[in-house]
Amino acid sequence: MPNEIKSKKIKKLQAMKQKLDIVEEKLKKIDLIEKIKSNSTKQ
Amino acid sequence: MFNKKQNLGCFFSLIKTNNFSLALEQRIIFNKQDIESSFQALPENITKDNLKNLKNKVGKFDEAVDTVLQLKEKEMLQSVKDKFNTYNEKVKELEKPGNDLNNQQKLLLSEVKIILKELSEDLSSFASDKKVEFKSEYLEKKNMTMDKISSYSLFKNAVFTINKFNVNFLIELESKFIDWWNKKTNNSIESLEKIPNHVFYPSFQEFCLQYPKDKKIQKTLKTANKIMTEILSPEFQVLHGHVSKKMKELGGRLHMSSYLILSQEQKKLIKSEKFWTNCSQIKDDLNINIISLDRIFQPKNHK
Repeated sequence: MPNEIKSKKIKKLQAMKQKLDIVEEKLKKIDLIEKIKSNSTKQ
Repeated sequence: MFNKKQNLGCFFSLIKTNNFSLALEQRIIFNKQDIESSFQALPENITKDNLKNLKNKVGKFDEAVDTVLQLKEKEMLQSVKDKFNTYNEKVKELEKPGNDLNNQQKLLLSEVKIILKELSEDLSSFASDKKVEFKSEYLEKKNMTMDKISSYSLFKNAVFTINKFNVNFLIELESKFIDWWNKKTNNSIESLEKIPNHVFYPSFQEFCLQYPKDKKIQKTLKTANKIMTEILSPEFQVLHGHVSKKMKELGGRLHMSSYLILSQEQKKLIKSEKFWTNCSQIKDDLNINIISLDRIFQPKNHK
């Protein structure tokens, strides 16, 4: 949908998607830390 | 009864060219009062059958345009819900006893929980939202609000925007038309707003003929005429009837808006019985109940 017109609902959904992206990033970081912890334990 | 069919064609054309934003804009203009007042403005000699057919066509069209919006929202909402549920599950997993999270992980997890709580509230308030509202560049530039838009604008905007010209061109063209109209009729813009579209359309054609060398204006007129011709043709009516019937048999609903997108070859294809019995794509798409005809011919990954 072009930028000049977006429904309020779709704008809200896009804002929600952005929040979900942040959540995804944070969860990935948690996993990454877990991986590092696991590797260092093995060594 | 010509006016509503013309509107119908213009709206289809906007969707045909994937100009969903303008189509949605038209959808807002095309409210129930406009429809009712347009019906009342029809000539008295219109037959009951014709009026019934007209109302039926308008209803189907309205539904089709509405569907575009609903599908877009539906897809986005489903995607948000799916991700939301997945991440909530992930949080539950992380919180299980035995998971030895360090401080950094605990901090990240608490941040995640805060955002997910916000999202949960967002989703609840989203469900209770009232009717969708739109704002367009066109309306902003014209300093117009939704309540000021008349049914006249419905057809006018559609015709002017049919070829995806830019907003400034549309405003300029409309301004030229209004000047011409006022000179021709000695009427004010208010009276133009009130005229039925079946009066407006021939006037618009006449106006366009004043600019035989203006390629954009002529293209606008040509496209509008072409759409009108197709919508009113018996072939279109027959094909549309056939596809609607098939879709009903399969348990789906026809998304009329994409109808005109089909090429001649595709139109031929969907007339054949073989196509309907072998097309697994249709059966898959019917899972969402509403189907765009153009999607039948597109690869699966288009969804």
